Amino acid sequence: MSWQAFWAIVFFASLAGFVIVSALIAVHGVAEIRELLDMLKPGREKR
Amino acid sequence: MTTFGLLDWLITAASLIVTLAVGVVVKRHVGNIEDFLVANRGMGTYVGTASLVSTEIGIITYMYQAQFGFLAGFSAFVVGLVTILVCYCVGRTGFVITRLREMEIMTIPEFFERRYTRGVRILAGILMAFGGSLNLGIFPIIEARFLSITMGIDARYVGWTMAVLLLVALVYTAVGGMVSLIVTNYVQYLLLAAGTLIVTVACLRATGWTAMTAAVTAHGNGHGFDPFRDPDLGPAFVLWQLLLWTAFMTVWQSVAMRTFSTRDTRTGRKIFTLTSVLFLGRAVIPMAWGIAALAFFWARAEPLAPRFDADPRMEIERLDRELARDFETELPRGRIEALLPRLERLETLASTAGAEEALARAKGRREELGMVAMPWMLAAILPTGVMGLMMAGMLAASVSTYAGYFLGWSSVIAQDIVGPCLGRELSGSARLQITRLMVVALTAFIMVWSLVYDVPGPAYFYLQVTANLFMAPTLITVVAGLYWKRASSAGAALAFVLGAAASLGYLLPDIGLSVATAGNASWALAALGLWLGSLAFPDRRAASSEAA
Repeated sequence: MSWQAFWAIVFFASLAGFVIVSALIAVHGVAEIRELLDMLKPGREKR
Repeated sequence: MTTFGLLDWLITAASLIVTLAVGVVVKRHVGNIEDFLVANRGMGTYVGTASLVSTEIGIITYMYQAQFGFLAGFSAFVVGLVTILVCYCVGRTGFVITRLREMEIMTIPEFFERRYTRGVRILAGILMAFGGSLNLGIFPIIEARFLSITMGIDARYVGWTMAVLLLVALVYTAVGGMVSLIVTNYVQYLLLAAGTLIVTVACLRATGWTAMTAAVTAHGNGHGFDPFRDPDLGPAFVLWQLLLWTAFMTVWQSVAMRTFSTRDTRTGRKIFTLTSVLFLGRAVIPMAWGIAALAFFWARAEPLAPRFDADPRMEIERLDRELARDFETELPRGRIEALLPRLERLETLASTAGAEEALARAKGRREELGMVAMPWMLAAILPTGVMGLMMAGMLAASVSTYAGYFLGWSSVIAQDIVGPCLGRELSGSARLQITRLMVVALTAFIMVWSLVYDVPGPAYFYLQVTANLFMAPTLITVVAGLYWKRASSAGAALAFVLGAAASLGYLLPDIGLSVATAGNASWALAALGLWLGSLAFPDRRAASSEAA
């Protein structure tokens, strides 16, 4: 395989990976933030 | 000429206001120093990934990666492969990060006091704060150029624009610490991901992959595809990158703080596995923007008329003189296409004739073009409205980086230099106040530093060497501390001194080491210092336990 073809595969694979993982973050992130803030709440109330 | 208009200003301002509001609102969830620095160790996988990546991607990242792509062509992509390999391996094996997370520390130097002595902690803290501040100090210089070009801001007001950005980051970092960072990083990550995709699509539409490949083939001087044959890269550079990225993923303070903030070690490892994919894109995507800029401006350039009868030396002098003059007038107008052909001819002639001084000046000018080519291309191709969306993403990336680094380096200064030097145990609230004060001090420092410092060589190399200054000895002493019983405090101290000295060999112009030599020497000397120092001056504790 030539270097040109290899770098084309690397670039488009990185772009696809970036889109997929970003979509996963967008979907699952809100629930995780809610959990984090809920976890901090009891400690704050105690203080 | 930029198309940045009122709509773009509104979109940009709205994104900053939302970020600031979110960051300040969650402040009420912060009660103690542990909440402030590591969010009470409650971070999940996806927000952890968003937080880590948005901290490590700023406008500065896009700028230096694009410059690297502009200068080295596709060969630069090798760095992306190194990052995905290292990050994935760290995630799968838990190398170093699992042990550090289990120790429940908040900063890396804290480990040194537990394993070695308080003196090693302070020394490591000083070097980290020094290297980290030098590293952070050039961010505003380079980012200001991006904003000035793409937003069309007058040079007189760029400083104020940067001050507003720093202030936004300062306010929510100082009041909300890691909790604010995690929540704002999530919003910022979404904006920066959208901005990244917008710019990538625009670049590909404006040039196309075929034209990018053709530009590197035609103007790469025989290089640009094989990183092992590129004179500025080569096997030594790749080796150094492997070492440096291993350190970056494990002991770089802003990355390590994400590891320390995770719910458990398993979550930490998952974050690194997901991050590995994004880190490949973090390198490769903006490098491709730089290559697209190369193709974009070469497509607009007019070929030079051949000058068969000219004496090469006279032509070198003429081109050198012309370029010195025209850089002043053409570059501020973004007319890179007017400069590239003459620069290429100067490089060819100077290289053939052995005119070293002219060649060095041409190299410097190419680095200068590489730094601004990508923003000038964006200013030319993005329409109003899309510009604002792109800028919202870029500023989100930038503010999250400042915020993450402010917290990272200020926590080292407060926890590992000021606190231990006071010689008495500080209360949690006192440490919290000192950390907040350090965030403010650090902001003031980088604003001043960015006004007075002139970056030597490509920004990518400068940033890597300033990081290497403390990362090589840090990783070596952490690994030895975890896995080698005989590692001693004297060995650790010697590793820090020698490792830092080697990196300074690149930054100090009188010494003038190449980047790969300085980088690899830093690792070799730090390892040697640790080994010799530990054998020659073992810790009493280790010596006595061995004797027993």
